[in-house]
Amino acid sequence: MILTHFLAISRKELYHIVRDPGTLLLVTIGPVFLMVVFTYTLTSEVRNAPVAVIDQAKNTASRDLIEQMDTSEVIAITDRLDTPGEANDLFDRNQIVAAVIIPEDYGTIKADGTMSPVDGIIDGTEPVSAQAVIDEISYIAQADAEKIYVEALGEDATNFVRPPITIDEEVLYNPELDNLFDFYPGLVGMMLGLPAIALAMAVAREAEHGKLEQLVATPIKKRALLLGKMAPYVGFGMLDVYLLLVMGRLAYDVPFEGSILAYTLVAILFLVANLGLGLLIAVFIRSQQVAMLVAILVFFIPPFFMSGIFFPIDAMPWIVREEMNAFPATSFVAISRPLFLQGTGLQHLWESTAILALLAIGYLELAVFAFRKKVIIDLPNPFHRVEKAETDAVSQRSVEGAAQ
Amino acid sequence: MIARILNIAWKELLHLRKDRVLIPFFIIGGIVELTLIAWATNQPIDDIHTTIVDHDQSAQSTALIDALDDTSTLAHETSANNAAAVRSKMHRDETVVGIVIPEGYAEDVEAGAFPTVRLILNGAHSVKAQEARRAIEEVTFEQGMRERFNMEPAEYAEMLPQISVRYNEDLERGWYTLPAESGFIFYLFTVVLAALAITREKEKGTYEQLLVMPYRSVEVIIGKALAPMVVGFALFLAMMGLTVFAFGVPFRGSLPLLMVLAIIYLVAELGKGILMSMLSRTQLQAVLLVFVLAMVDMIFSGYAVAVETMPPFIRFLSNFVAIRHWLLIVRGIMLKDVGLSVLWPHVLAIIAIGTVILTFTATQYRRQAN
Repeated sequence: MILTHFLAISRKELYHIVRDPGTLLLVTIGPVFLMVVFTYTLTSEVRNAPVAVIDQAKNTASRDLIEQMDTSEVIAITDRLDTPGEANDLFDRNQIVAAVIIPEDYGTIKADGTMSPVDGIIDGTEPVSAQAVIDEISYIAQADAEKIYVEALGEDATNFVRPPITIDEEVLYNPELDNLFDFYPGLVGMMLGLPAIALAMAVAREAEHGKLEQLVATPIKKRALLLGKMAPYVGFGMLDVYLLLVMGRLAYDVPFEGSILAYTLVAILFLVANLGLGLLIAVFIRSQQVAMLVAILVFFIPPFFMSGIFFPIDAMPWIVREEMNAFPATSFVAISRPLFLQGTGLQHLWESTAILALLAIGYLELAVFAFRKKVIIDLPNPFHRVEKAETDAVSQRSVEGAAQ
Repeated sequence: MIARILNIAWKELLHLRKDRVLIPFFIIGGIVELTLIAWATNQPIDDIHTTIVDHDQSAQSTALIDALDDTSTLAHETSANNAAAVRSKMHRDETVVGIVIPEGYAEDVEAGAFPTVRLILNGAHSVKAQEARRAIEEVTFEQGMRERFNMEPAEYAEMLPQISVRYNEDLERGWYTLPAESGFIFYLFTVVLAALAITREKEKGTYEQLLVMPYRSVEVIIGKALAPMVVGFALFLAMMGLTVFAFGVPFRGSLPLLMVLAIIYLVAELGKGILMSMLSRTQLQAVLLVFVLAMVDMIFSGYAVAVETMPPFIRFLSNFVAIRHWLLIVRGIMLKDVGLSVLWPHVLAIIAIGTVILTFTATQYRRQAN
């Protein structure tokens, strides 16, 4: 009986999604589009950052150094100036992000056995690019200085300039340390907020149109109703998951190392938890616009800042970390990054998996508990101001409905 | 004409005053978001989980481990027996950094040779891994100089490239993101408000009445834009105040200049909102349209990563997006203390973009009126 109801509601909801182009786009192409936007805005590598060179030495050593800088992919020499003062204006106009000043005596070892190093001025306005440019310039200048020392003083000089402890580096899972790899599995979770927003809006729309009131007359149980509404969105959500997986592989070369079965299980748990939360929102808010705004606030803002996708959460106070566990995205990020990139088995990630399962059941039950089939639209929709008489009539009707 | 514009504007303000959801949503949401960003970007990447394997067990290796322990970046949580144990820890996602000090490390140090330390990084946590690598390179360099030449950092600092940072001396990420975010919030807010202005009339069926009234298209557009503009400008001031006073982003330039430019920028963006409003049938549609548009704007705005480092094609396209010029103006005035003599191309660009949009909006209104 419940199963028939569930299937009937799911089918009806599926028709709704497929026939409304807006919703259909939101749950199919939406996450993919959003992923492109996010990966683009957040992880673009620093390439050809404009740099000015002030060559005060004008000798072979300095020309050599400039040539080295020219071959770099991170920076590009765009201006050659005579005095450091000329750089100020270029900095103000955003024409350059760094200026490299090569001192007059560059290339000659002084009496005390040292050489004047290169000076660099960096525009720190954009810290992430600035750091990359600082690293690149230091690296090139350091390597060039080492070469000059060795040429002037022979092999002994390496003692002085070569890092005294060699670091033999081994990077697992992401050899280039590409931040996109780091962010991608978590971003997949964030994109899955879209189906939840669509669900919250769909339920709110029905409430707004008074359709939920018609259900009062039917024998459908609340659980079957809510589960039936959720089911198609879980289906579309899984479609998005696989789409994003394939896109990560093909477009961004993000490797998937884990077990697809385990990942599917986690994704379903996450979707159910997220959609349950969406239902909970919709149960309390019965206007589409408000539901949308609240859903955006719930599904995008906390995951972005506090789920550990971009900003590490280890350093957060424990109380905040515990609170963030209430958002399904937090556990999903904690599971999916190792599962996705490192192939870690679920047995090592059981803690977060358990939390996710708990949230999935919890939010759904909470939504079922809070959902009243007797729908009372007392809150006037603040966007669409109903005439006074009309509001009265509605509340009159709902009072009658409740009385029955 | 002015009286008629003010009439429409007054009516719009009354509408906004009655709105009990959208305005609190943006004000509270904006403050929450700004606080979150300030907080998240101010967090240093610290206490990265590190596993150390010490095959040497000597005074020198202990000294190196102590030096590594002293950095706030690394947290030496566990030790392991060998590199394989570190790798399997990584596979279980239990550690981010592994450092293996080989046997014979002390002898190498004593003999003046170059000892090698193996560093294993978990690339899945690339942000942390990069931070850890930077810290470890610094520590091993200092430790090596200490052991081999008995030199403290101050003694050899002059030999290294001298790099100084301007405008944002400590490379605070918040100084970049917060002005951008506050700019973004007030932009979104005003555009949404403007987008609702005409769809509201459409939904209530009063749009046709408006069309047949003896208003000129300019009057309707200005009137409709005035109320969101006043509210948007207030929000702008609030966001700026929060950014400067609560989150400590310096304000080095001229506030009056920024305020005047804010008004120009607002006019340009409002035109966009009203255009969206004319093109959509319902308020919901208008809001969704604005959100999609905002996402596209975000790509070109240099919101998180500087546009200067993007591919040339994107850089070229970004010139046609008003918010990019606006963010450059905000950062220029706040951090670099530059004036109109530097910023005028961006001001002109915003005026040009705004004129095109507003003209298009006006023709659109006239077409709908006919």
